[in-house]
Amino acid sequence: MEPSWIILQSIINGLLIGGVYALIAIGLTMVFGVMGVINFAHGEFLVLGMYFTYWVYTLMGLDPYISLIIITPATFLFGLAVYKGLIKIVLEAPHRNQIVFTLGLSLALMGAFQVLWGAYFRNIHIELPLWSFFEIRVSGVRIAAFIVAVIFTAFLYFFLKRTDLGKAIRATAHDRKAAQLMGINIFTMYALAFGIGATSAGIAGGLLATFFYIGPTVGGIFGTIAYVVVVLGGLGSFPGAIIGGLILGLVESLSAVFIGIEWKEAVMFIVFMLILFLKPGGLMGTQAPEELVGKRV
Amino acid sequence: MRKVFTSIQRSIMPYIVITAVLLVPLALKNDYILHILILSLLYALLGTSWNLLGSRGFTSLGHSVFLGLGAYTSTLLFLNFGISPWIGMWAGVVISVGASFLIGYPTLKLRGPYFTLATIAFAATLKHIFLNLKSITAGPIGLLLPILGHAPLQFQFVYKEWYYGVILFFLLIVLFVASKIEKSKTGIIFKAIGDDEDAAESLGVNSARVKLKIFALSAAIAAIGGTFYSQYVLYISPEGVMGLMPFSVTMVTVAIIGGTNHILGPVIGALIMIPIFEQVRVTFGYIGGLNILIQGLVLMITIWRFRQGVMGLIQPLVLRYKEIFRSGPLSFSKSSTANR
Repeated sequence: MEPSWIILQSIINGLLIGGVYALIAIGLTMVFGVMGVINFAHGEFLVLGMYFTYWVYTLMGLDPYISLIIITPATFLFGLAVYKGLIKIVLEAPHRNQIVFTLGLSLALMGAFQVLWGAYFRNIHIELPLWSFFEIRVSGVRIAAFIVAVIFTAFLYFFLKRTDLGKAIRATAHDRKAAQLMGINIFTMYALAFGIGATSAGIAGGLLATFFYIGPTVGGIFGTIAYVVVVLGGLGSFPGAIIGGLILGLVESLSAVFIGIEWKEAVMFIVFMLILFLKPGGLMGTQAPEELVGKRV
Repeated sequence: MRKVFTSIQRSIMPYIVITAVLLVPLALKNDYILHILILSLLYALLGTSWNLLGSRGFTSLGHSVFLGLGAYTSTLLFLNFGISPWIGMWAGVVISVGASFLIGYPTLKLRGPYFTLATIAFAATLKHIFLNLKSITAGPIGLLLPILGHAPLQFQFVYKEWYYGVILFFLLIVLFVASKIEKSKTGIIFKAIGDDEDAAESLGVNSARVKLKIFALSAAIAAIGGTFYSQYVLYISPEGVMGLMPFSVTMVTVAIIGGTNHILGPVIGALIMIPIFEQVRVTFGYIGGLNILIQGLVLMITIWRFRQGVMGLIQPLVLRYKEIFRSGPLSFSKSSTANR
């Protein structure tokens, strides 16, 4: 294969996985933007989606793409329940306690997965036709994952931009006090944002389950990627998460080609550190409201 | 006359009491108990290191990276150049402090969760670099230190009592330094920054610089813990010493559970939690992940119900004791910042 084809192929692969990264990060950035809480259990929510898909597929033979229809409301309700039962406890707590609390949630979920289903990895084998164009070959499951991620992202974008409820969520993210004065129940908005955050992780988990291994520690990998994407694009910024996700996907696949596949994680994190040093507000230059970023620790 | 005695008593008594209590296990001659205690004291040291920042609200979730740098520096110097880990330990401290400047300088200026995210990413970066520099670090296989028998000059002992003595000595020094820092000008300014950064800066405090100083000290302590760990276990790997689990997370756990507002919080937390973790590992070893589950639940319950940790539960009792006897050996800081 010609070198130029390899580059083109890795660009396409990078964009495809980048779309999924963007989907994961959107949930995290929304929760932060609206509530000012970094959810360190985001990766574990994703693993929950993976296991759900796996069990539904193995026990009931349900196609992973059809099970997404169940995952979407299920993870939304799960997110609502976690918000009502747990996150509310630390809503007004200092940053440090929020971080430690969600870290505790992440550990508890990770431990529970391991206790319930073992530490080993599982996978689902899905047959989808290989998509080929001249010399380029792209696996069908990755294209499907990208398409679903784009559909969900677009749906969420129009929900936030066009509907009253979406506008209320954005208003809460922009200025909590003013939103409250306008008669918005910000706690309902928090609950919705957290539910949407969990849904985005759950759907991404369902999609990743079709071509990635499934295990209790996988949440750490994608959780860390989500933090990187979110800071890359700007904490709390929706378009930033999309652009950050695509960039990270590209960085990952191009560095695998040019530097070596074993270096791709190191390169991803180095790029992240450079962004943090040079442009801490993120690429989109959007900062979360001062009230959130400057919040007392 | 009595006053003089009291002041001397006040400054030395805590250390005498702690040392006396912690020397008791040496008489037990039980290697298993000693092993658990050595681990507990190591975590007490690491928790204290984390708590220097954590108690004021700056949450590092990549602190294992400093432990890893300390462990790798002393080990590599010993394996490649035959330099005693006693000296290599200080080289590790220097490298760790350098790394803390590298990560702290750009991120401690930022507010909010940036610092936490940066520490996670920094630890992940260095872990992957160490995993890939196979010619130097042997990659994921890790490094084995040769067994030299009883070689105190090379930081290797046959008897666990020696390791116990060393880590106890390190811990006492670290506690002494930490309590001095807390009462020093830097410590007081740092506390003010934790309370209200804007107010502190408006009074002319260079807050980023003070934070950086404390961060560097914290990194140095973690590096010492790293060298001790590598010499005790005689094996290190990037995932083992630099990964999020066990060190980065468990040092947070012991500090939070013990109580971050008191200097002895992480020590108490480690002495409670580490034996529990070890016992769970021994008894329920066949249920993988149980320790992680317990750790997560305990963290959540602590933040939910006992924000001041175990020390917060003991503190009122000791204060009452103090009121009765007018002079107590342990001084408690009454104000809280991070745990409002």
